[in-house]
Amino acid sequence: MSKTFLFLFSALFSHSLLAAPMIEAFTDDPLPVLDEQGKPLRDIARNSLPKQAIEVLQWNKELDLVQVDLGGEKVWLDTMSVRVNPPLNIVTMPCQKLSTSLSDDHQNNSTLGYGAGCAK
Amino acid sequence: MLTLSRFSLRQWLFGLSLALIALLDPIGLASSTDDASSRWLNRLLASGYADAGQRQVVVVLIDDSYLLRNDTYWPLPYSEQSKLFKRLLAYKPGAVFIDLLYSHDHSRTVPGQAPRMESQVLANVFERYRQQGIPLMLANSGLERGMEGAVNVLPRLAQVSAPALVSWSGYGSQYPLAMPTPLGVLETPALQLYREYCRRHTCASLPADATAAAQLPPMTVQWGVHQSPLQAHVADIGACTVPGLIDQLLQAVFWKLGNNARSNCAYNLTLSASDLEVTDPDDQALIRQLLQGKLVLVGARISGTGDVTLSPLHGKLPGVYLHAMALDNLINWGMDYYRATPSLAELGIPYSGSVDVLDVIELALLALITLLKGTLEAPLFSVTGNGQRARLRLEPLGAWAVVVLLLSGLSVGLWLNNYTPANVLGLLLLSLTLFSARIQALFENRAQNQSELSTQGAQR
Repeated sequence: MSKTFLFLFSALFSHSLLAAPMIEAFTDDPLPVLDEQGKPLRDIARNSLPKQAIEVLQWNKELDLVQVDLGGEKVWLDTMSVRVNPPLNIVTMPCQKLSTSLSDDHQNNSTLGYGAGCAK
Repeated sequence: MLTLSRFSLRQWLFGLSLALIALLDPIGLASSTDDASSRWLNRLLASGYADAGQRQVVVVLIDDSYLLRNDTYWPLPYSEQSKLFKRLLAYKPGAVFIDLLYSHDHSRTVPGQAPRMESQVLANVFERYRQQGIPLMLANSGLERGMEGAVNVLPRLAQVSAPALVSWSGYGSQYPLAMPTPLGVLETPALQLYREYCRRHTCASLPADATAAAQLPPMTVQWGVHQSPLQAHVADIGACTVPGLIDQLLQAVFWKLGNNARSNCAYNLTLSASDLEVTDPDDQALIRQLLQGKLVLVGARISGTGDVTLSPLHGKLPGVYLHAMALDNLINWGMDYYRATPSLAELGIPYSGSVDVLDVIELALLALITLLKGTLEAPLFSVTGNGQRARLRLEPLGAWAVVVLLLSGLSVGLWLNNYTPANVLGLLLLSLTLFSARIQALFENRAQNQSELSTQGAQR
């Protein structure tokens, strides 16, 4: 009984847990279509884009780009041009302390170390 | 009939030495008091600085907090930069200046990619700015890349941006609008961004091109003190202080006693690069409201990097604020920005070196001070009429009042015409020093007279 219950319970929630992120809306008009390196390829007018949600095939976290299938063609889009659900990441407003100035006579007699050695 | 009394050789030599001190500025004494006068006048007038520019200019700072949040390092990898600048692009700024010198390609090796390809990722983002019609300027040293000791923007990035000159010399603490470089005449970021501002707003006049701008005098940047009311929406400003006029005056006099009446947060609306990462739609709407259509300057404040500028009101700030404040000045005053008075050479007087009109006026004031000092020792004028002789004699305090009055008038006149102030401190101190002996003698005489009168009264 408990095994059956667990199976049904996990089956019920596995869809939502494993659901692929979907693009719910396009926020840019026209929408820039990019290659995998973020190079702009062309623009697509919003009214010619699909109205229903489309699945995110890949997320390039390094460049913050998503790959989708648009009319049978796999293209890359900027995450800032679309609204994804569930969100790929959540960042709240840091509201950090505004940096203050240094005194007139402040000195920093060092420089950043960029790593040691020559690449020879 | 008035006849000029004869001055002794000693007085002539004294006057000549004063003139030479004023013109030659030995050991930088005059320059120091000149700078101090300029600094303190800016501090006193900063409270009334208009906010027209503040509503148009936004600074985005890449700081240590941003590096820590993103678990990254400095110099920021190109992939991180591409993310930052594509986020900024999404908020549709009016124009963007990036105060970072892209001199050396520090692309990381990516498996399966040709070497030095990572910087292309950033170039791709910059290309999108161009496609969307958002002007993008990159910091440029004005030197030809490859010259000995010279660095400049990577060609890949230069192709998709406009150069903005950030490196110059020969202007003291002033900000040039443009200057000739080995790459041609280049404009500085403030003027370039101001041109973008003028495309959407009415501006009185603009130099036709960079060559015309290079002929204009450099700007004496004036700093504002009151922060933007929008600043509190995106940052904790609890630690920011804005001293009032009285505090500033007290600080001017009692700075040695540790009265630190200094504004410690920058004037321009400032966002952290971390603010551009927000994902909540309401937060994004707020950031869009702050950035859309604005003139955005991106700079860095990373511990250990040396790009700082000195503000008379704030102390040391990241260098990007100098460009932001110069732009702010241009929006407030257009081409009538604060400047030094023209030099005699500019007026066509040969062999005048760097002597300017204000130097000559100050010299005239010095001559007057010398003459007034002379009248305290001997009568300046002998007035003859109807066979009677009368003497025009000035009291020491009256003579000093004349100097103060003339100096005040000169300062107001210069301020109204957007010229940098006269060396108020230097002239006041000099006149006070010259008249001090006489003023002291005057008070001693008065005290002695009163004492004698009281003694006589007691004897009667």
